[in-house]
Amino acid sequence: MQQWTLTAVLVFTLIRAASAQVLMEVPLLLEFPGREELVRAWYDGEAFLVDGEELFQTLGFAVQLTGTGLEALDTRHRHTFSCSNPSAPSCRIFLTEVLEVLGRALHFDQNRLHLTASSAASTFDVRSLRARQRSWAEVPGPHLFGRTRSIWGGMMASWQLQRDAFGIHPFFRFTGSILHGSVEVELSDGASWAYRYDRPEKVWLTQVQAERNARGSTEFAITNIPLARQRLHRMRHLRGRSDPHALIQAVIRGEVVDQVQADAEGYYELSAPVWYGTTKLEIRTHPLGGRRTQSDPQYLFTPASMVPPGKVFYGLRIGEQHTNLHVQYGIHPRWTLRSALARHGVYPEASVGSTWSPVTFLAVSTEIQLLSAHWQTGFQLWHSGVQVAARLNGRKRHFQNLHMTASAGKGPVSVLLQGSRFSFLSPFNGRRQRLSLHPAVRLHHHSGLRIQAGWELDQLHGPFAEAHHRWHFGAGWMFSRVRVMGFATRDDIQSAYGLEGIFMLGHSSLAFRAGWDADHQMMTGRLSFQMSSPFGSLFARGQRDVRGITHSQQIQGSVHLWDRVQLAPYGIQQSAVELRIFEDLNGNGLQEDTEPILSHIEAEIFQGGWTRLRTGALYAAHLEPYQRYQIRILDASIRDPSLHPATGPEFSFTADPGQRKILYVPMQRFVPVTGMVTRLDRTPLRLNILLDQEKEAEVYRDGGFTLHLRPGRYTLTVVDILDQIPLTEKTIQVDTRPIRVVIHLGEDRR
Amino acid sequence: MLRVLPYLLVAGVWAPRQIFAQAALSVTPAYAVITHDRPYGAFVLSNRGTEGVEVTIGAHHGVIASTDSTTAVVLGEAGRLGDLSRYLTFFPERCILPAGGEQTVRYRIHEAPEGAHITLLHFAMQERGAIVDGQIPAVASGLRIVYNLVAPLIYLQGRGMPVLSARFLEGTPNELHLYLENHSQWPFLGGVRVIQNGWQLGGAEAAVYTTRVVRIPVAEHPLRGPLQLKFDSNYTGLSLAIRHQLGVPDPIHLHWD
Repeated sequence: MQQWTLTAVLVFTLIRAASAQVLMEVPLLLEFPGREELVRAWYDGEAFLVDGEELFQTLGFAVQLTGTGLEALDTRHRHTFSCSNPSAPSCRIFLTEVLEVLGRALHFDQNRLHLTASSAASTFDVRSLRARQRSWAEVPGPHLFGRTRSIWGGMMASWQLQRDAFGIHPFFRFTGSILHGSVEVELSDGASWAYRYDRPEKVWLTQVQAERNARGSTEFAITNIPLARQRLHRMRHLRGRSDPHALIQAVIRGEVVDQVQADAEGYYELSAPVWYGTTKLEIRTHPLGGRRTQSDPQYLFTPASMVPPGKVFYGLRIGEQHTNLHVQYGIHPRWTLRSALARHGVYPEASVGSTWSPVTFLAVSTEIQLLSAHWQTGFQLWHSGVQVAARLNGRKRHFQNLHMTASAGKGPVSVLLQGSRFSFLSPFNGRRQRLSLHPAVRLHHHSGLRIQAGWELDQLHGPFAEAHHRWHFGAGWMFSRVRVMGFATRDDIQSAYGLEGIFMLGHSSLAFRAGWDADHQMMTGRLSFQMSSPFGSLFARGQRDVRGITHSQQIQGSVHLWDRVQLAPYGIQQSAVELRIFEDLNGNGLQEDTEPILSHIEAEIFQGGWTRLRTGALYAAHLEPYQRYQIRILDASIRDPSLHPATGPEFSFTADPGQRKILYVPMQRFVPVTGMVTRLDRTPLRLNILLDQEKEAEVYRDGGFTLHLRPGRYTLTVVDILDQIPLTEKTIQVDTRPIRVVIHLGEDRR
Repeated sequence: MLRVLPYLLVAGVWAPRQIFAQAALSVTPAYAVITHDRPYGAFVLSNRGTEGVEVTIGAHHGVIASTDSTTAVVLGEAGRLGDLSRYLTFFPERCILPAGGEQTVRYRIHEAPEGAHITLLHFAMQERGAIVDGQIPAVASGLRIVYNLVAPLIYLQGRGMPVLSARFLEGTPNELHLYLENHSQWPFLGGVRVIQNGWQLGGAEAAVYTTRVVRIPVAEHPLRGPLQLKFDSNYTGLSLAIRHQLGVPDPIHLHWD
């Protein structure tokens, strides 16, 4: 009997084990606006499962477990999921279900085990994430989201017709999306075309390209270099010491990317993202007691040629005339190795090189071509507003060319020095050297006085020495829609003096340059008029340019075909943003027909300028693709004191290449909540009020505090900021009327 | 009856430029005149000191007025000017400004009746102080000095002209002290010029809501005989539209003994 029972138990156990899921735990890195967190996940060989409670709480939802499923709730959404195995200790839900519900708001990179949340998502409350994290918002950009390639769409035709002394030159360009890739066709003296297919989420093949250039040569190229090289290179951890309990913030471009409170001895550790290029990191120290904030800027320089450690980037291009393969490998966060194999016609070539960044603001690159013994090296330095870049090359022990650029800027004043020294073989005069120096100084305010001055020296050394001097000077005044400058210039062709300017009126602009050519005793100038149709689908520009004894006329334009009509100047894949600030009457965060755009509200865009559209929205064009821009809503322009931007006064976005990104800023009415903490057993300056466990308000000297909240139910927690101990909690219900709250420290203590 | 705020340590400074408290809190602009065309605006608070401050903001019906000897903030009445605080909403009512910090205080007027209305925006500031571990609450909340700043906010519904009367209080070799009284429901903001025999002896800017003593610097002492006071609308910081809306009072003829 005992043997039979034992056998039955064994068989039951084996059957149960055989039918159970075999799960491998694979923690996912969830990157959402402001920070990264690990989320528990599992892989059963076919599908990924994720800890639903952990994921949705991290995404800002309130989570309710319903026994066999899970409900994720916030003020605007309610998502329901079923647990894959209700008897498991945690509710595991299939990641495919999550992605199906959240759509493009969440991107899953299976190879990197990365979940990336969009800050432009509509299926979860990004603003509440931002409010909770008080941190920067990263819109992943079109390489992850929003790049809507189609089978047939987004067509744009551009043309240009130029007439000069050599005749009439037509130019035609056609761009669009075909078969989920982008296509570009150009017709001028010859015909050329290119087709690109992006696979931004992949690791080993991110782009496939086929093209035929104007000379009739066809090439095919593949690469795995990330489409947006500005993506995070690495996280840098900074340790330091300050005043005890001081608030330490890491700030990049005005955005707080991380903040911590120093411990009792003043030690702290921060994490800051390091991007390709130069990252200006500011460490702000806010000592307790409101003393003056200290700021310590640091520059983290990561050249684009640097590859993240452990990664391999390659590019392969195969053509009829030219074939090459280059490989880069990140051996260390500060050291990248490169090698390349190439064939030019019948001549092979191989090269090796490296980029080394010994300190954060200096990078040195070298490359040697093994067969021809050519070498080139360069260095870049950027520190405290001063940038120096130099490149030199040669063959064996002989130095040939040098090119150097140095610039420094402070406020509106910038100084630039460019210089080069070239060695070349002249067919008649033997080896000659050419030296160029070009210093310039500029004073550029956003509006007001503007001054430019520059001088250029060009010297040829050799059997017949020559020297050329060129200079220019301009001074004028800039208004928001008018810019007028007087200029004087002298170059090899003419000496001219005159006036130039731009007038902008609505969507049209008139640019002119009129001067007197003293050498040829004649008028010189350029007139350009740009207009677009009221429908925004047609753009045209005419220009007449007179310079010296030559003149040319040019007319150009573009028209968008089919849907997704966008206005884009000729030849530029324009990145733009439209900011729609509207009164969110029903508080749902979405713009309805009855919710007007508040056209009086002004906003600042970091490194950019706005145009007000007829709809009242703000529009900024000519943005740098993939660049992150910071926007600040100007508080003083909000006429109604009870309206507040639900996004917070500052946020950022990433510019999409060739696309107009529309950002909505709901202006919502907040209800004032005034409160008082009583029965104090410590100084009120030590107290903070946390709103749903996130820092929200400091307590005044008299124990009072103020909050401005959307209607809803909140839990207020009084916390001692020195020892980080929660002292008391109180739950409040906020409707549409102001309320007053009294919290007794002695009562309701945990 | 005039009720002078006795506890104001720093009375509102009526000058058309930024005003500063001892702890380096500034309010910009120092006054604001708005109309029904644009019934909204903002003040900006800046803490240029080295300590964080707490600011409590309130709106009180009142004016800056003079007796023969003093000029002070008067609360509770403003002559024939209406009480703007009834129609005013503003944000925020309290704030904490760290050293070097800024805060915009936005306001808006809702449906005020015809006439001119005034309120004094009162910024009460106290230093936040350092946190000392073990400090008892009574010390933290008991030791405090409150600095006060006042910025007049005037709202014009419609168009009108102030009616002024004047008398001389006294004269020094370099200055004439003039007592101006406003008998209308429209404030006067503009320039006052003293003219004798066709020559301008001196001039000054003044804001007269109810009564105001104006000190006019003069190049030479006036001769015994008739004097004329001429008014204009040139007041620093006042827009052209507001100047046009307020109008200029008629000249006043006085006699200098």
